[in-house]
Amino acid sequence: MTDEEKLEMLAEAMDVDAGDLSMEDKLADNEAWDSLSMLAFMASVSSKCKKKITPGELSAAVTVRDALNLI
Amino acid sequence: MIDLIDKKFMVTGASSGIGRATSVLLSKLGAKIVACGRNEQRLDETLAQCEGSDHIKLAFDVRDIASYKNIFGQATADGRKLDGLVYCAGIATPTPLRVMSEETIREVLDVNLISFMMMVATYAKKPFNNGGSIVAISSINAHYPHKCMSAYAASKLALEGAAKTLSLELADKNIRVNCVIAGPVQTEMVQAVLPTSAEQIIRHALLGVLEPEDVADSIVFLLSDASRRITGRAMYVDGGYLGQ
Repeated sequence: MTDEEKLEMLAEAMDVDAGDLSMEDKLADNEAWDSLSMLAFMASVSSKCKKKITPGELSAAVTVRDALNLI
Repeated sequence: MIDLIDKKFMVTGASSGIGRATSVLLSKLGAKIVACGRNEQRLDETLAQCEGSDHIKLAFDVRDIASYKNIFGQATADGRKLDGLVYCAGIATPTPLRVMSEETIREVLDVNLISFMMMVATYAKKPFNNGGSIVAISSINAHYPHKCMSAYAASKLALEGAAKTLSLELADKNIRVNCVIAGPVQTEMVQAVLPTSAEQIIRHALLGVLEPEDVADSIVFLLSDASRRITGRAMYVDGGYLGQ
């Protein structure tokens, strides 16, 4: 999976356009990054990548890149 | 005192949680268990906690409906038919609508509803049952919705509807069909939900979060002759969840 595809997956989970996200953005600074977005991202990764991300792992992600590195 | 000596029950989802607790309790009351689940090692752990001997372990995926005839054949190969079925197999996949997929919905319905109905259909065949009692596990989530659990809630409501209808069809065969609507239970499935959601669930339970054994007690009641005049019903075991 390419970085662009991963970013698209995160954007879909956050319900924003992928173009509005960049790798070094801090997740906490984005209003769309909430518990629902986190759950959506975990569900997407589980469904599409067959990989489990724990809430703790995702909570520890600071930047967009950190989140995508969990995939 | 409920006496289940010489009775034989099949329990799906027996490798953990409510299914494991039900298997253990049934064995303590003298019943023979047919423990079903996907993970053979965890089924062994369940049977290690059971009392008595000659229990049967069958490792398979409930989505493999084509295997049911063979599975029930193995369960009754010793010449003893089944006296009941507990359908504890289930999956909960918290999924916000924004990332919901057809695949996710179908997966949840496959395990929580379709496999249940097809397993009941197989159980009801003459070679496999002595009449008896079927208990399916529903969830408080179907009656008190939580975000991101739409597929799960829909599957459990459908399960209850199916169980009530099947009770009408199976009464002539002396087979009862009931549901237990479980409240928040300390199982791996519930713990997999986000911690914040789990905390909300816990706050609503007047009598606290249930242990799997609390639900198992009611399942055993519905399997036993103590409930011989009860069919087509759904019993809440929710710790007072809906009372608030």
